[in-house]
Amino acid sequence: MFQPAGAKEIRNLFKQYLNSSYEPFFVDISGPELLMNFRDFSEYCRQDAALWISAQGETMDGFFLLFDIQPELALANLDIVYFSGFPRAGSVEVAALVTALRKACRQTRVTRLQLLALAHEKEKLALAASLGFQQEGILQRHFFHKGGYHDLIVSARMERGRHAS
Amino acid sequence: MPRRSEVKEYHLVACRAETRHQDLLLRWYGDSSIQKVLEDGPCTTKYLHRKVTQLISSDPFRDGQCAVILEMNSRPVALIHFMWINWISRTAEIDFTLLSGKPHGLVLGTMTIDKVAQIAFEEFNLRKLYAFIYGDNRRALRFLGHYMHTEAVLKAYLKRGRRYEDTYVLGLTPAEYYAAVERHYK
Repeated sequence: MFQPAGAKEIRNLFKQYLNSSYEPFFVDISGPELLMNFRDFSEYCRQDAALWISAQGETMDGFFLLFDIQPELALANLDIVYFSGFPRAGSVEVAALVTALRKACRQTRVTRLQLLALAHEKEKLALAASLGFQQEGILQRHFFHKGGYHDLIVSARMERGRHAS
Repeated sequence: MPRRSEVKEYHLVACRAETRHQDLLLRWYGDSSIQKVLEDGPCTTKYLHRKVTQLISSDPFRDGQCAVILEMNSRPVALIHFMWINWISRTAEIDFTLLSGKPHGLVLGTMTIDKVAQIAFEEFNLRKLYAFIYGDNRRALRFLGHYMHTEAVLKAYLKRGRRYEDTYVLGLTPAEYYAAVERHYK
């Protein structure tokens, strides 16, 4: 169950960021980010951003982050991370994620969500497809990670009524 | 594309934007036709002042952006803006604007892209440039298409009144740039 995160959850997520084997934690067109301290991490999750987390008690399963929210364009970038494997299409978890994403979009008045994923993040891409994301292109050798350059897959999901004329 | 001899007739000098360029930059960015191709929406005077102040005081290593004015015979003819410079991935977003006058059109555009590539690939040691070009900016798409390739088309990205327009993400690597120069001028 995803919930909007407060200061305490951001602190917990930062601990997870320091300890997690999941990486890269954040994927952005102008990234990667340098190893962040808490102040930068917190700013990344808060400034023009909305962080939602999924937790069972004290244990965090994952999060999604709407970042670089641009109200004038009604769009935002999305990052989704599940720490112990992405849910499969049609699962209860995916349905819960869809509900939470819709709510987050309504709250931020976003009608275009953009997602960037490294080309080898197959599970993340499969999840994105099951959420209705359409691939829009590939930014070639764009993102440096673990000693090499990686392609970024660009995809987007639009609310009904938003389309190019 | 212009002949190499046409381009060689002129000499451009590149310098970082500084305080003496403030009025020029305000005039430039205040121009509605320039705003239409560079900005996601209408700009307030306050926004423009803040943008120009940041540009002339920015340091590419600290702030990840850098504005360069191209001058010909001490007269500013073009502005190049490197944004979101990422020193890890060695990428940057670029935009540039040309002043009308002599030389115009393709010649100045070609000279400007030569400078963009020289600064990015030979001085900053970047390995990829990218640009967001609005779908209705056909001239820029046609011209940049000689050098850069389309990597993504962002559907309904830009709001124009009540309509949405697609936006193109173009990419350029040093190898592609030098191959394009070779193609056009061999």
